[in-house]
Amino acid sequence: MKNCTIAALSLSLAAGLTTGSALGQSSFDTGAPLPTGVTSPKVYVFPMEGQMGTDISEPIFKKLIEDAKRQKPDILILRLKSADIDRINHLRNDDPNEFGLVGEITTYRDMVKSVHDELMDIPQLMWVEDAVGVSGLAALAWERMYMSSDARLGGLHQFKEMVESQWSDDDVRAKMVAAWTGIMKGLVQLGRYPETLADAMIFTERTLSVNFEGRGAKWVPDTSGTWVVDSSEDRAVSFQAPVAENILLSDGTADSLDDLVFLLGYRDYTLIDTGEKLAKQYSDDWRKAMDNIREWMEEASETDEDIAGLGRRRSLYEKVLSALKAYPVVEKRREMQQAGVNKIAIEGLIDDIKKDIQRQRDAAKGNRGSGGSGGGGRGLGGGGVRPPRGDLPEFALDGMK
Amino acid sequence: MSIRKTTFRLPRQLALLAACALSILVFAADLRAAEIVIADGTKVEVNAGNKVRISKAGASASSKASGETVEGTVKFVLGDAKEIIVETRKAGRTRDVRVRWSDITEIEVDGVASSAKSTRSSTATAAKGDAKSSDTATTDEGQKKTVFIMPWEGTVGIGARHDEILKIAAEADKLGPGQIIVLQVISPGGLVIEGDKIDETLMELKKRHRVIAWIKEAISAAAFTSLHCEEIYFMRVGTIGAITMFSGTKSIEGAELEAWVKKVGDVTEESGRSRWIGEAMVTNAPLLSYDRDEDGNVTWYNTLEGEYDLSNADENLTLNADVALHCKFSDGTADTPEQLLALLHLDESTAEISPIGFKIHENWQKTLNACLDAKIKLIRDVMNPAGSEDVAQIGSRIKAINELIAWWDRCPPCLQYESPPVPPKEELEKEVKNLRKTLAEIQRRRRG
Repeated sequence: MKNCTIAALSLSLAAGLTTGSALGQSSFDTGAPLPTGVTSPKVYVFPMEGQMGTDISEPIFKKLIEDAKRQKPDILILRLKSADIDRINHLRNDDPNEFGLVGEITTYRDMVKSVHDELMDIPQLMWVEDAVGVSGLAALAWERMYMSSDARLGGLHQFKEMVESQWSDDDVRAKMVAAWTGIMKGLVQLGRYPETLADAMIFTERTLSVNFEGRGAKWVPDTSGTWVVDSSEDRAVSFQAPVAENILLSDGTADSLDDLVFLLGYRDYTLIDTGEKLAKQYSDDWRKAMDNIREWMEEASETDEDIAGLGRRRSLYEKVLSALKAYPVVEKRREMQQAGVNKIAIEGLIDDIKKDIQRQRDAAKGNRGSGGSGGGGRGLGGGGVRPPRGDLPEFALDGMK
Repeated sequence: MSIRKTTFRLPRQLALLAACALSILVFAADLRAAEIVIADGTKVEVNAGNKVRISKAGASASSKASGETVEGTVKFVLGDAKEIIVETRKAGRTRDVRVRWSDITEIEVDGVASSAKSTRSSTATAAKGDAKSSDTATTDEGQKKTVFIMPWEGTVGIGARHDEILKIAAEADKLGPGQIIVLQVISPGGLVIEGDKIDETLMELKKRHRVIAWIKEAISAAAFTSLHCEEIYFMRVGTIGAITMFSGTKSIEGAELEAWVKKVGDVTEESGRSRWIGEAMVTNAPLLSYDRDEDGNVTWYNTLEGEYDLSNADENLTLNADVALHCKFSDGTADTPEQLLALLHLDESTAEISPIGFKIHENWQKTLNACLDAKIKLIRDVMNPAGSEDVAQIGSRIKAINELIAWWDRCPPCLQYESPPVPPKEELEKEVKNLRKTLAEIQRRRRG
């Protein structure tokens, strides 16, 4: 925990950037109100940084929620930095392995809901440093939202096309799109944003504009509004911080925590950074575990077929299994899925090896029979880490001789 | 998110849960008579057996679902829920209609009229804005309403089953009619055959109890299930819809589709909503829009002439919390059981949430997960049995198959529908017999 005092420079910056919220008078339309009468609130930063589905995932959310409960902060700031697409589009240097995992949308829904529900007594706000892709929907799960001056808040790319490409039947395709987007819109509803905005974030063909009504903004699902936000029919809407603030999507712009806390009406605050440490450690650990898994799978592929080799292989697979159990997010990674590395497959391999070892021991004792599975495969083949068997065993009675 | 046409075996028998300490509540007075408080506070005495004619607020001319007048015999007067249940008769069919006191603008009891706007009748007592008094009366009697909340989670027919609905119904029945059952729906859809059973059960259950859907995720068959409920509440993240039925990758069509559209429309209408909402969830073609006037009255259109479009010819309908509330499809939005109780006009002093629904859910999910884990290992043991020679391997196979047979009894949907599928129990039993025969032959040969 560290005590922070906002520097004068930050104060002036904040004053220039904000739409204005009087000191000590900020409050949320929903959720717990900001504390009043507290000159130096305890601020817990709840980091959401990295890949959606792995770095930003259920296990770390659970840890952070528990930690936040223990720390009893006055304010919870969810800091989001997760973008699928690089800022320099023409380089096309984005790593597909690091794209947010869209298929985990129900998990994201449950994650953000759990922060709302379990920490409902603590005033919460979202601070977007960068959010492009499915993370953009997560950003909108909080009603009070701030952005960094260079932050992007962008929607999904090719999601609808992805779903539609899997289904040729018109009705089934529409059903699948409706089901998925219905769930996605749930996140946006959590932040009390209208469906029109959610649609523009999800569907590339939707356009978006806004009309101003008094101090409020009304979103329009076409380009007839006063301010046309997105006239493109081939990409989802994306907001830059200044625009987001001008059209009242964001509540303000802040480039540092100091600025942000000032915008909330506090000159001093006490930073609780245990969440940042936990999240950093978690990301480092699971990524290290994934590297280890790659190495262990490589090594397993080079083992011999004798008892010693099988024993070594089994031991390596057990390490892989243990890592997969400790960090379940690893098997969600694209490269792990492509390689077929997952808990069920590895358990199957270990099981087969145990049986093979026993058979070899029996054979060594002269107890030879007709058995033998050919299992306990070595994993690697053709440069991948695919185990020799599929995820799930197939059951066929005619296979039982 | 698929609805598959397939067969389904019920477990052998429904087992009642271990007895839980529940106080037996007496609802006789609550269920049979009460001084009800209608729209603007007028009090009217209503007894079970009274013939009533009720005019409801908030209905619109074009809403087939929410007709303005309810006529029939009072079956129950629910003091805590502030509702009356009226048995109506239409085309030779009896149907229970639930009417909230606050929705009643005019009520005629045994031919005597009472109206919020009209001169009070002989049965009406002068009072306004005094609805609290009946709350207090309930509390004073020391009776707490039991609310059965049951998470209904997973694929319909596998994780979210008809069986658990029967179990929670049996628990509610123990306390007599008029209980509150909340299905907390978290499901991506599932099996049509399960939907058929749910349809039958919920139609009956609604006659005895107040059945509420609380939506987190009600897709496809789960949406169909939820549409049976006259009261639907959403979580803020909630969504409902996408009831398209398909097999393989192809949606149903022709007469089959027509029948399904009609069925979903009927269920939606039966529960007091415009049938067009349900129909727009089934297939792309039906259009849907609505108007909402200043008083909050909603008018539905099966065209796009309404101010608010919900589904065009290329879209399948799902509803989220805000729109559902705006168009009065939803009765409210609640994220926690406490918030839900508040929407039901209940609180800690007037109601208690029974743990039984949660226990029923937990028990089934545990069984299902245990079966999933065991099944994969057992299939491996069947396909690659332990042992170095025939006898040992056959023995291992028999052991694994017998365990699978036992799981067929404990958790049939997991074996039948969850991947990888397992052959039917009868085939497994036959295989065990064959393996035993083979084993005996080997042993005979060895002895000989």
